[in-house]
Amino acid sequence: MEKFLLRNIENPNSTDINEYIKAGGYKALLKAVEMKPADIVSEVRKSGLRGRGGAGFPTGMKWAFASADPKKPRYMLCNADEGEPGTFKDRPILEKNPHLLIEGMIISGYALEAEYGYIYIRGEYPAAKDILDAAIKQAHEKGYLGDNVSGKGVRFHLYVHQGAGAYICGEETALIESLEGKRGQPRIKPPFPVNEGFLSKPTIINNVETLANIPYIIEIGADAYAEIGSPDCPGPKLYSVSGHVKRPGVYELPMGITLREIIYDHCGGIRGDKKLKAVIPGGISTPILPADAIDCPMDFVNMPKHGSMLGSGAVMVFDETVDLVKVCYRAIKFFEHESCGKCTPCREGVGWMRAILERISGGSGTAEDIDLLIEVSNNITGKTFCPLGDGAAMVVQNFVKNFRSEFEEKIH
Amino acid sequence: MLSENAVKEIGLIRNKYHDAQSSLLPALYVVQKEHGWLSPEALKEVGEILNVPKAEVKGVSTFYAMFRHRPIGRHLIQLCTNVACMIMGSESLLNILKERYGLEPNGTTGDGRFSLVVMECIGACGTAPAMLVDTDFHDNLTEERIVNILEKYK
Amino acid sequence: MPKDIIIELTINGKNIKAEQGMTILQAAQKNGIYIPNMCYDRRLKPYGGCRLCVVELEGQKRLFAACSTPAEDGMIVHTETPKLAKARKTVLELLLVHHPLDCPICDKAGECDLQDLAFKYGPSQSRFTAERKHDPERVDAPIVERNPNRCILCGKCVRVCAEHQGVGAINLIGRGFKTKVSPAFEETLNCEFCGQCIDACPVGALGAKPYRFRSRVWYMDEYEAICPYCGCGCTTNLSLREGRIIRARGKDGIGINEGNLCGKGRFGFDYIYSENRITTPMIKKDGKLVPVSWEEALQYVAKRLEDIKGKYGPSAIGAIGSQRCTIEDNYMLQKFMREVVGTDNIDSVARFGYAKAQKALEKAYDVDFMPIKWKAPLNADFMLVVESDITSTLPVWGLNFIKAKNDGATLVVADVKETKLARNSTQWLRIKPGSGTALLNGMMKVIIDGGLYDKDKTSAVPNFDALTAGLKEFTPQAVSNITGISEDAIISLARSYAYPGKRLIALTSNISENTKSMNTILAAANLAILMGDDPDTVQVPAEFSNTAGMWMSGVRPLSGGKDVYDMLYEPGAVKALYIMGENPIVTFQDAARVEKTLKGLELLIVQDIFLKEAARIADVVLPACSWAEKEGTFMSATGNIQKTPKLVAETGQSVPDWKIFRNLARVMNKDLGLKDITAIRAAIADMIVSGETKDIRRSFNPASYEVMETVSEEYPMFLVTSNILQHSGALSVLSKNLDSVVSDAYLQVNTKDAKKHGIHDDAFVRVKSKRGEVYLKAMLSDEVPEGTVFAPLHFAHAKVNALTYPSLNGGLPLVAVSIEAA
Repeated sequence: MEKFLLRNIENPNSTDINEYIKAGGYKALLKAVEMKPADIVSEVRKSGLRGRGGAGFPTGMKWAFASADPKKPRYMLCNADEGEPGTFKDRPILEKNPHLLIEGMIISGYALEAEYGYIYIRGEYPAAKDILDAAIKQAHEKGYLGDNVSGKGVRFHLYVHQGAGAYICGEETALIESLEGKRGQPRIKPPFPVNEGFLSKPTIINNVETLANIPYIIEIGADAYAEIGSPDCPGPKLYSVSGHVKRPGVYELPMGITLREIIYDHCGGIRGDKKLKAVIPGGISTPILPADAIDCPMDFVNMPKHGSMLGSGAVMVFDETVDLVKVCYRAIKFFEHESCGKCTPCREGVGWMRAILERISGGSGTAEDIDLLIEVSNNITGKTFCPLGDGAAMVVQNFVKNFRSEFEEKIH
Repeated sequence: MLSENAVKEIGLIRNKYHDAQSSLLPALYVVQKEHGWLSPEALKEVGEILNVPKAEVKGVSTFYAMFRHRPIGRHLIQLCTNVACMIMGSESLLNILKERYGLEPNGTTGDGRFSLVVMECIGACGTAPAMLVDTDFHDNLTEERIVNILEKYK
Repeated sequence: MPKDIIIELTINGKNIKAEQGMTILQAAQKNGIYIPNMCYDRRLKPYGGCRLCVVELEGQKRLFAACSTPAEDGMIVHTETPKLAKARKTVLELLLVHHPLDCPICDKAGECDLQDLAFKYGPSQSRFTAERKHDPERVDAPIVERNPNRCILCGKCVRVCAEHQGVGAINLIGRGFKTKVSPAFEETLNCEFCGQCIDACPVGALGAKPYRFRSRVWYMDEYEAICPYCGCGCTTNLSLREGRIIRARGKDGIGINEGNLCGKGRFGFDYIYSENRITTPMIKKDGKLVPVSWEEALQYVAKRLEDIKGKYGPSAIGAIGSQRCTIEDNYMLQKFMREVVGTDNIDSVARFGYAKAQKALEKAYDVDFMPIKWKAPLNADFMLVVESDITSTLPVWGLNFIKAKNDGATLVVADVKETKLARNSTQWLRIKPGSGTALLNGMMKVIIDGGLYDKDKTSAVPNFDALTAGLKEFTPQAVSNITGISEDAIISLARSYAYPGKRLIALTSNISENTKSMNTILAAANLAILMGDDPDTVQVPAEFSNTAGMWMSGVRPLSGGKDVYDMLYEPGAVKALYIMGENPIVTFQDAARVEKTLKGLELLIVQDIFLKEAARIADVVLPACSWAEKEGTFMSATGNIQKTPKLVAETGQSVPDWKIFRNLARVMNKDLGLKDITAIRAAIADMIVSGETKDIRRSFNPASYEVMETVSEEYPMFLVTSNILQHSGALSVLSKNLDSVVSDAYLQVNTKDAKKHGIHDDAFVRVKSKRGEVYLKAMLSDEVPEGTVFAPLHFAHAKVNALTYPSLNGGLPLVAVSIEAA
């Protein structure tokens, strides 16, 4: 497959605007500003693009909701708070191909009549922040940003806003709270950000990878774009692969490719030719799959049918040597650290699960602990304010469901 | 007291937003960059500049793991220990830091050279284990490599 | 969200109606259906944190939080099912992970939501308690105590403080499992001490220190009363044990305040137990007040009044009523003076306060009394507050300004001081002290010159030409010079004010203030009339609990009698003065002059609850009952007439004021014909009508800008005086609770001025004006700008009123002072 999202990143000067333009960059923007905003929205709708942050919500639909709200100003936000453990797919775009994101944001801002854009980037990516700042400066100088984008009288100002270490801010309403200088606790929905978002104004939030797809859709047209990947989830997808594979890294592959193909064909199989034990296919919150369940097409529609989720497309591969109880404990420790503390089940329940896992993992668990762990996780499920607590409960439930014997072995 | 430069920089940041409190996180970064940490006095001052109550400034700043509320050493090691880094050996790196520098998580070396913070995922899972030293990124760490890298930070 | 669309849904099999936009919880509450909750508060945005309000929706598998799920037409909701009981039980178990079971020594026990819900749904404790917090209890702050271990992190206190009170003194600190509620740096809590967080707390994590370990809740009886402090007329719920009031609290939805209380209302009730209470009648004998019997005292008063009347005629006798005494008390005072003594020399301190507003509004609209509208701010799109600390004068009404602003209205505050509303405003214009009148005139000039006013409606209003002529000199440039803000700021304020929408101008008219005059209120009225707005665009609250009622009951000269200015500042104008519930030496400006007048009287009768400055120099002192020791009626600033009950026994031999006049009249062989409170009420029913009794007739009245004193080389700074939030007149200083918050007068000095004069925080400063000098403790603060100092007037011994002077009409009584380190 021809690369688009990662096009040109091998070029050592890929972040330079002139190199980007040389490789065909900002052409989509020039094409877009000749179109009517509403036509861009319907083109994106037609493309079938789904949000790449993890939930897979149709981007065109989100855009249409925002366009329907007359309140102004509108804000265009980029979610670059890539915090889901295992996920590093947006990093190559942010660090090596920043102009693709910027171009995507300008087109989106124009399409949605949003004059202000913010890229909310996680604090853990300080280098990417500087790269984006420099790229934005260049785009200003070239006239792609500012009060008169490309001489077409379009107004778009873009800023980078740095997060400071809070996984929850990847949740869009928590991200908005954080952008407003508040504690990053998620908001009640409705109202949805498309109606009342940043500073109570209509706000569109899209993931880095989603926005990076926009210039491609404009460039090749919605029809051609829809031909790529799965019929229900078209387009190229970035998969970040980590753990015990021979060639970990970020891969641009079509939607719907199987987990097995990713691990064995693209990443060269298991390191040291050991046996595969388990895979987490879409970042730490997605259900862990045993080794025999990897013939599943990696997209938003098919993964749930195979007992897991596409999530952020962050594939974590575990070979036979891995202590999965310890992995589960470490994962829950992460959720405890990241729980915002707003709702009771997540705040108190995840800490309790961590305490039980700490016991089991440390060899002092009792025979009742596994059932208690499941009971506590069930008491969290469906009762939390946002998906974070649910995610933590789901991790525990799937680890125990698929690898119960490993837990039992720890209890003497 | 914030420096004149910091106050000026916060003023410039303020212009990027339609609302003063939105500039709070960037303003805290300005302070942290200058002082290494966020002292109560600095938090109060930021609050006064942005017309945000000091309890709000403190509440916000303590929500985010990357803001420091105690003085730290000259160099801050932020070592990832999340799952991908853990299975690739970050625990042995923690041991090295303890053995070699007497450095424990949330601690500072006696000479004030290093402080250590254990991080959740820093997005380097493909090249795990990884760490940030100040704002420099280092990955594919081994017991030997981490020592060599740290020796460059005096 | 359109509120007028009514939807129908079913909750627990019952069909109910709700407004579109309501949540399921709101719809249920409106229909009397209880859904458990711990983080919801009607005053605040839904939070969705506790997860106890989960309900089942038919056709949906998962549970929904009722507090944050919109009610929809046709929805079928179940609030009590086995599934929900189990869900709530699990949430409660999780809350009990951290919450200690120290109920036996918790003041909240018996009215604790967590206790009640655990009782209903179980469990008695959590299976996981190993990692409980062990934070020390904090009882170091005045009045408010904190017990962080009991906190369940519902965040209500934090949100009430920031969102509703506009303060933000506490916050959630940290994240997740380790979050705790605290002031910024774990320092001693230092806030406005409204105590709203205490009522909001569903458990015993916050408490009122004066109530600490005083009683189990089930040993107390609770009664509703009307708060004695300001013109809000809040309902306060008083808890009594063995006949003594031991706590006051607000209760959700009760009274005009709907459960809100300020610090005075919540903690200030204890003034009635002050050791300064007068317990017996006293007569001055050989220069000393000595206790006498009621009979002797009344005989003495009667004789002396008769003597003076005989010697000089009835017009040599005057009386001063009280804004804090009930309508019945004030009515009987004036009836006694008019019918028994035969004098019309009756007035009150309101002459220099609310009467100025009354006079201005009478000129502008030809009305006698114009009550404020409680919800006026909530209906406004643009609110302008001019040199008025609304949240100190009427703290609970002031909350509506903050709410309106939070809901999207524009709030512009023009004030030299950084008031709470200034901090919570859309725009704060720091104008020079006393320049508000000029600002309003300047706005009108811009509006008229720009043709932005309502030409149709103003064409019928008399005096338009006089108005425009009077505004001639108020060009943006001139007003910029007077106010110290830019011409652009004035022009843009005028233009945005003229933008279509519902406008509101709020001003206070208190005796304690010296930056406004009658003309300021006239200017505000002119602006409202100019824009074609309704009279309720101008909101000027009556200051105290019964300022309005006192006014309506005839405590003012009605047929050419002397007013309080004559009686107190013109020595010899009267020979005898009967003062009820007032201490003029503290509350009136230019205290030395007032004291001199009082000392020169042949007879001074003081009928009060405290033995204070005026009482000490009186010839006769009569002990009156305090609020809560007598039944009575107040009329609030909104014109609400509200009864407040007798709840506790009289102190010593004190008697209700109204009864003293009844008895005195009898001693003077005259029966006022009203033997009890019922008879008095019947007599005054016609007289007391709550405002807007006749048609409005608008007219323009040019409002000039006259400053009575300017700064000079000798006196280079302006002294601004007003109320402060924790105190109210000279009454609240007798509350030990309030005294623990602010116990002394102070002088706010800008840090730069302090540096210039070598003044240190908390050190004494000598403040001098043309009239006198006083020593005050410095409080360095940027709430005041350079060149301006501020002092509150409540504290008798500080004698700040030695520096000030009175102004009856349009002149601004600005005070020029000098300061130096003492």
